[in-house]
Order: sequence, then C-alpha cells, then structure tokens
Amino acid sequence: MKRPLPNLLTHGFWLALRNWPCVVWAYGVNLAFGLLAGIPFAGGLAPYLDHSLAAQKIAGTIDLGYLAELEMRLRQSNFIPVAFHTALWINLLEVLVLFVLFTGTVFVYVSAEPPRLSVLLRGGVAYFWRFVRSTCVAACIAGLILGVLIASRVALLARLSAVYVERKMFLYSVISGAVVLLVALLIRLWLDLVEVYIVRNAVDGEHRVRNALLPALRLLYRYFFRTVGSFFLTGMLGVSAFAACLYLWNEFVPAHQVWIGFLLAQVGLFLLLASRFWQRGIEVSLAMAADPPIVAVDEVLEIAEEDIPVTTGAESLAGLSEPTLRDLVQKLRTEPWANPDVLPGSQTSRPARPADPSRGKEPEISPLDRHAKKFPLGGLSSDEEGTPANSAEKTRSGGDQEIPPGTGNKP
Amino acid sequence: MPRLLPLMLSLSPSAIVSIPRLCSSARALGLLWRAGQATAFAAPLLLALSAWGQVSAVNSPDGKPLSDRVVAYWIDATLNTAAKTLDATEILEYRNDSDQPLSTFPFHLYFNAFRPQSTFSGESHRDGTNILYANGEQGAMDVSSISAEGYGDLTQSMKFTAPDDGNREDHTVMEITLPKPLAPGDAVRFHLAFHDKFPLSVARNGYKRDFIMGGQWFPKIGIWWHGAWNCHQYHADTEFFSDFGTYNVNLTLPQRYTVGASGIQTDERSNADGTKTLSFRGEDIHDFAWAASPHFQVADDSFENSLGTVRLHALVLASHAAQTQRYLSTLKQSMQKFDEWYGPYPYKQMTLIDPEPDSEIGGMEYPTLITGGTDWWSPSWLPFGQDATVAHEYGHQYWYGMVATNEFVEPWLDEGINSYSESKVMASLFGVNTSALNARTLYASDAETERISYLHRPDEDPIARPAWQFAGSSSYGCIVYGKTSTALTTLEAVLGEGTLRQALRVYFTRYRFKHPTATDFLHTVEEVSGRNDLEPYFAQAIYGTEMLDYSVDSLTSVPSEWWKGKDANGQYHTSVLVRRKGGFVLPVKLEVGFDDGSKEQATWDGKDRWMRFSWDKASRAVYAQVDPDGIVSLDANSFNNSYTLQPNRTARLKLTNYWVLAQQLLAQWLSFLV
Ligand SMILES: [Zn+2]
Repeated sequence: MKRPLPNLLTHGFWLALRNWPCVVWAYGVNLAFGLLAGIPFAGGLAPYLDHSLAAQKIAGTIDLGYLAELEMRLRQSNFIPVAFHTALWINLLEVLVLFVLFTGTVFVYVSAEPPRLSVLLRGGVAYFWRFVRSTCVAACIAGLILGVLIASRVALLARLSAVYVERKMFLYSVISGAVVLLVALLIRLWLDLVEVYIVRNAVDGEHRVRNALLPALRLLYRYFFRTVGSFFLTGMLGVSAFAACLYLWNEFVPAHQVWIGFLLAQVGLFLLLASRFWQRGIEVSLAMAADPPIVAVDEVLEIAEEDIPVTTGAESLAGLSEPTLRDLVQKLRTEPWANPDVLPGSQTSRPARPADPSRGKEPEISPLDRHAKKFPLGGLSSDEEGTPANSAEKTRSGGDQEIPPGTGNKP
Repeated sequence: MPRLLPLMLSLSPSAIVSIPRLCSSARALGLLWRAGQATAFAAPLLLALSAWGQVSAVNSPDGKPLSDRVVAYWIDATLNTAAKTLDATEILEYRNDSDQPLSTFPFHLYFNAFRPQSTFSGESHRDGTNILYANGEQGAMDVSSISAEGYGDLTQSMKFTAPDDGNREDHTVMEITLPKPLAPGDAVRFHLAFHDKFPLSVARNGYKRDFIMGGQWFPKIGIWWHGAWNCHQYHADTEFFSDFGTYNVNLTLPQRYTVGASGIQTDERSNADGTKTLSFRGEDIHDFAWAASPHFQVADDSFENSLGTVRLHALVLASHAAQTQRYLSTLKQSMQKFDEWYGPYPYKQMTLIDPEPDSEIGGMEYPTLITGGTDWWSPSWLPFGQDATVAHEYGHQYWYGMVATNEFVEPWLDEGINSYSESKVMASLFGVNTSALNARTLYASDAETERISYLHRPDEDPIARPAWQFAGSSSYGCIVYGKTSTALTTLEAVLGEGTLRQALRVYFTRYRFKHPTATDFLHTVEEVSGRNDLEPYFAQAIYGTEMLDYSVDSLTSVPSEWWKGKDANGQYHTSVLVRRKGGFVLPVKLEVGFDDGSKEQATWDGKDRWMRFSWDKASRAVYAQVDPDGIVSLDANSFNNSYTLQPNRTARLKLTNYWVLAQQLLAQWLSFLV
C-alpha cells in the first residue's frame, strides 16, 4: 500500500536548502582541490608562456596550432607526469573527502542534526564503511547488469552497422547508449536510497547493510515514476545549468577575460554540485515519508510494561537497549570516531543513562519528530503510519499496529 | 562472351590501321587466330576496336594526345557484388619506349598485398597497424593466363619477384619473360585473364558493406624509367607509379549499382540477366579506378577553363546527401585556384566519390577520380575534414595525376608539394588563419596542421627518401606531408609567395604528362626564382635531418650608466642574445620593441651558435623576437622565439582555468559514481 507522499521536488529542495552548508562545504572542497591541482599545472606553464609573445596566440581566441605545439613542448619536459600525477592523487583524495561529506550529508538530512562541518564529518566517518560496503555491492551488481547490457549493445550495434550508417546508426547508438545510461542511473538511484536506508535503519537499531538493499529496491519500485522523475529532472537541471554557464562563457565573455570565465565556470560547477544535493534531499524526503523508521517499539513496550513514566522522548530513548538515532548522535558527539555499530544501547545489559549535562539542553523530541517538525513530510507521523515498505524487517519489532498511540516519543 | 559477337562483324581494316605500331602484333594475332584461339582473343580485340572513334576524354588544345601514351588497356570485367569478386580479361598494349630491347616485363598485382604474408601487411604490423584478415577479408589477384600476340602463351613464365625486400611470399610483383626481346619502338599486346578478391576496406581499397572500391584492381605493368624497370612491391606506405596511356574498361554489374570511374562513361547497356555493362574511356592517364554503390546519388556541375568545359561528377551516398553541394562547391573552388595558379585541368570530367562510412576508402587520388570523406554532421566551421580532403585529392590531379612523379621513390614530390598546395588553396577559400578550424574560441590553419604533423617527427628521416625506407608510417606521414609542406612554406617566405607560385606553374607546365624527379623540381625553383644560393637550404631542408630552432636566450635593458644609479642619463643599454639551438642554419631577422613604440631590427646569418645584439636608446626594451613575421615555419619551437621583459600571465591563467574546471568536473563525476 502506498503512502501519500509530499512533493518530492520541493521537499528535497528545501531539505538541501536548509542544510545549505553541506553544499557549500562540498563545493569548497571541490574548488580547493581543483585549485590545488592547478598549482603544478600553472607552474609548469610559466617557463613557456609568461615571457613569450607566442602566448598571445593562446591568451585570446586560441590558435590551436600554438596550443598543439605547446603540448609538444610540455611533453618534452616533466610537466605531464608532474601535473597529471598530482591531479590524479588530488582527485582520488578529493573523491574520498567528498564521499565522507556526502555520507555525512545523508546523515544530516535523515537525522535533522545541524549541518555543521563537525556533524558532517562525524556522520561521514561513522557511516563510512557501511557506505563503502553498499557501494561495493552496488558496483558488483552494476558490473553484472551493465556488463551484460554493454555487451548486448556492442553486439547489437555490430549487427546494425552492417546495414545502417551515419545518422541512423548514430540514432541507434545514442538510443542504446541512453538505455545503458538509464540503467546505470537507476542503479545509482537505488544506491542513493540504500545509503538513506542505512542511516534511517539505525533508528530502528538495524545496522546491517544488507538490510538496506531490499527496502531501497522496494521503495524505488513502489514510487518508481515519482522518484525517477524527480531524480532525472534535478540531474538534468544541474547539467543544464552547468551547460548554460559554459555557453555564456563561450558566447559572451571575451576570450582574454579569464576571471569572468572562471567565475562563470564556478557558478556552473556549484549548480551542478547543488543539484546532486537536491537529489539527496529528494531521496531522504521519499524514504522518510514513505517508510518512516519505527523507534525500537518493543523496547518502548517493555518500558511501558515496567511502568516507567515516559517523560521525554529523548530521555526514554536513551535508555533503550536498541540504539536509536539520538543515541547514535550522542555517541558520535562524545566519541566522534567510534563505530556506530557498537553503541551504548546495544549492550546486553542496559547501561545507565549517560549523565551528559548537555543532553538536557536538547529539544525534548525524538529525532524523527524533530525531523518531521523541521521538514514536515506528508504521512510521516507515526500515528498515521500504514504498512511500511520494509515491513518484513519490522515484524520483529511487533508491527505497526502494536505501537500504542502517543508512545513516549512526544513531549 | 556472346554479346560481343555482333561487334566482331564490325571489325574493319581501318581499326587495325588506327594502331600503326601494332602491325607486327596484328600479324601475330592472325597466326593465333588460325591456331584456334579465336575465342580467347575475340573479346579483347573487339573491346579494343569498340574504343575506335569514341569521343575523346580530354580537352586537348590541338586534338593530339597530351601524353606519350606508352600503354593502352582494354579490360572487360564482371563484378560479383555479393562475393566481392571480379573476373576479367585484359589486353595491354605496351610500347617499348626505351632505347634497348626488353624481354622481361614486371606487373603489379597490388591486391595480393592484402594477405598476412605480404610485405605490406608485415610492415603495417611492424608499425602498429594490425590488419586481421578475418574470413573473407583478405584480398587476392590471381592471373590465370597470360599470353602475348606473336609470342604465344606465357603463363608458364610467370613468376613472383620481390625486388625490394626479397619476400618470396609477397606476390605483389609478377614477372614474365618473352621468348624473344621486344625491340625498341615496337609494341606488344599482352592478353591476361585474372580474378580479383576484394579485401575488406584497407589502404583506400576493397569493400565495405555493399560499397566496392576498384583501385589497383588489375594487373598493371611496371614502368621503364631511367634505364631500368621500376616496379616496386606494395609497401605499407608506398603508392604508385605508372606510364601514361589509354584505358577502355567495360564493367558488368547489377543494375541497382551506380558507378563512378576514371575518364568518361561512353556507353551503358542492360543485359538479359539483370546486370548492366558500363563502358568507360580514359586518355592520358596512368591509372584507372572506379567505385560502385547502390546508394550513390549523382550530382553534376561544370567548370569552364581555358581548354573547355569540365564536368564535375559527384557520387554522394544517400546518407551524406546534405553534404553534396559542399563537396561540389569546394571541388569547384579548388579547381578554380589550381587553374589560376598552376594551369588548366585538361580532362573532360572530374569524378568525386563519397566513400562508405567507417571504411578506409576516403581521401584517395586516382587520375580524374578522387574519393572524399565526410560525416553526416560535418560542420561548416571545420573545413579540415571534408573540404581539406577534397582540396588535397584534387591537387593530386596536378601533383601525381599530370606531373606523374615516382611515388615509390620520391613520395614528397606528390604528397609533399600537394600538401603545400592544399594549404594555399584552403587558406584562399577559408581564410589564412582559419582554413582548418573556425570555431568561436578556437581557430587553426591548414598550414599549421602540416607544421604540427612535422613537429611530431621533425628529424627522423630526410624528406627525400624512398617511401618504404622511412623509420615507420608515422615518420613517413609527418615528414613527407608535414615537413615538405612546412619546408615549402618557409621557402615561400624566403622567395616570396608569387615567386614560388610561378615556379610551381613552370614546373607543372614543363613536366605535365611526364615523370620528373626532385632535381627537376629544385632546378625549376632555382631557375624561376633566379636564386643560385638555395642549395644550402635544399640540402638541409630536403636532404638533411637537422633541426631548425632559433631562440632569444636573454634580453636585458638597463641604464647605460648603470653604476651611477637608476636612469642617470635617461639612456638604456639593451642587449639581446640570440641562439641557434639546432643544426639547421638559416639567416634570421631579429626585432626589438621599445617602450616608446619604436622598433629596431637586425639580421643574423645564423652561422655561429649565438650572436649578441645591442642598442643604446633613450627608451627601454619591451621585447625581442627572432623571425618577427612568423615566416620560418620550420623553426621547431615558436615559444622560445621571443622574450618579453614584463611577464604576461593571461595565457597561463586561462589554460589553468580550463585545467581546474576539468579537474573539478572530473572529481564531481567520480564522486557521483561512488
Ligand atoms: Zn595525398
């Protein structure tokens, strides 16, 4: 049964906008590493260009002959190995950092924690290996599916090229390429949802990556067109914005105006990157609206049976044996590099509630509710929950119907 | 060949008289006829006669042949378009134009190069091109019989030779021996029957899908040149060399095919079996090629020159229909330029073939027929592809087609001179700086593409070297095309554009329909330019491998009385050190610009390794530059030709901006993947 969903585009957009530091940090990293890669490049060019009149053939509208000759000169020096190897390592490091930031971003989006850099990094590091594992699983699946698809495409095009040429062949090539790309993007979308589920499942005390795979697939299947439509639309908007900036640069900026070109290119790159965060916002909005987490219901019941008065969601959750998102956040705040899989609440014997004075200052609402208040997502309220998408995993918690109305998540 | 029987009846004495030098052969023919070989010789003979009285394929100013016409071919071929094979009979009439009797006659069997055992394949493999020759992709040319009128059957005397490398498996050169020599001035008629298997398109030949290119498709006799037979094997990078003559070709193939061929079409007949037979005649040409495809669309135009009307006959594939007018326009404009600069095109037709996509058939020259090359999306701002190909291949009508130099031994005389001509034509049609690329933020000239090609392999081989003796395909391409063109561009700067153009005009006029050598060309340049000091340049540029590279090593401009402090008397002492970094010596000009806008120039003969120049002026130097007009294209490094006292970082920042953008984009893309 499908839950009514909010407008994914707007909710995803606002989620990304409210957490704008995530985008800014990621862009900052992108820019900083780019500039870093530019240092040896610019340094290597200096001996050839700075004092040569031939550089004028490149400073304005570029004379390709001179550019090609410059490339030859550079090949004869150690420019290529230095510039390219530096760029290679910088890119690899940047991808690693961006991976952590994206991981942290998903954590922030799901948990509604403040998008401070420290939270981003703690969340990113905490979920790092689980995201890596999910990426490896997705890579294997993608390798299998895309391998078959690409091989089929090659075989198909080989047969078609025996008959068709030029424009027709180009069309067949583009269409078949688009199909492969579409499937690749769908796998990426699924991986995005898996990553959301990894964080979201922590609320349910579920830390195993494999238990995020199928729910993400079910969610994608259930809300296929809205999800895919939103994902593609935002992606295309990002690419279009980037292309528009390049077009403006090419068409309207005089060839020697380097700084204006730089600014336009950076605006384009920022918008391209921002669209990716918008996509993440959409995915979190979808998962949290369509399949909200159930906060350790059995433990809540247990607490009820013990007749412990439920005062605040925060305090009650902190004492549960299964870790909740808040536990996780607390754990990460106090021990930033800890493994989130080993949390205080997951110990067999129930630990004493951490006597952290700062916790008293926390808003007395559950992370989920706080998320819901901050970004009201249609169908989110636990009072209105229907069958969750990953109901199979939830049965161990007693099922939705066992949640007593107003169970102590609320102030 | 029953369809030829009616023509047999039309055999008349005047037809035989029309070939006076063949009297002895004609007698031999009668003997053979009596010997019961009428069937074997009827078809070729009739073919020969059917050409009698046909309209001429050339606009000869006096009605006489334009060339010596040492050879005459009559070929009757049937093409199997499904099997990609061809069966044919060939008559070759060869006249001994030498001053000595000839008893051995070599023939090129080029299609045999397209086998893995051949020298062509071996050299291609050595140079990194692995031709796989999967099932049905090999080529072959089998001569099943050969005889000569008056000499009988010579099939048993056939043997393969390998004059260049001794590769017995090469099979691209066959030799036969006459039982008695052919006297000087006498002619002989060979009769051959042969079978071709077309290879999958390779080296601008063969088939691709249902497109078939008939280049080098028949046994072709070598050329007696400078006192010896010149009949080289087919190498990875060699082209062709043959005698001028006439060609009469009948080609039978399915009705649905359209054919473009050398010369002019003289007849078309439909056959009862659903095929058709097309007849072509070419005169004063040294090769004959054709192309067939069911997808050709014909577009014609015409061009008027001082000798008459030339028909522009374009056969463009339906998939490239949108490029038809562009093809014709570039061809016509190129014809105009060559006509204006070098002399008239004397043939009645120029055929342009649009080659099959994804094939290796594009960009090839044959007498009066060229193959172009385009894509359905080919943009007008990129003349380097389609337009440069047409201009280049048309240029070969002059430098190869008419001035028929030895492409085996002196490939630079056709490909090199033609590459230079191409760059001149392209510059005149599409702009001096934009003749290869004219985009909004990028531009390039055709001459620059030649120079960049040269810079890839600037000193591996001298320009003047037999094609198969280059270090490899890359060196052959970079030197023969790129360096020759760049050396001629530099020579143009030395002599003046008009002088070199006039030299080429004289060279063309003097040597058209002949087989000149490098010496003929260089002497013509010296003669027309009136310069007797060019020998050192030719020795270094054409026959040498030394690099040409001048640089401004240092530039200083300091107060003349520097010990008194800054600007004591308002005078500056400017000093420039110019260095010759390569072994190539060429006089160069030096220019120094000053901050009051004045300029000083000096000339250096370049004989020493370096030279210091100095000026004392009331202004300070801004820059120093050797070759300030940028005319010494052979200079291998443009960036060290000048030095400015104040740095200008715009170019560096601009390129760095592109680099940073690319890195950021790459990182974003990678982070999207993971
Ligand atoms: Zn050429």
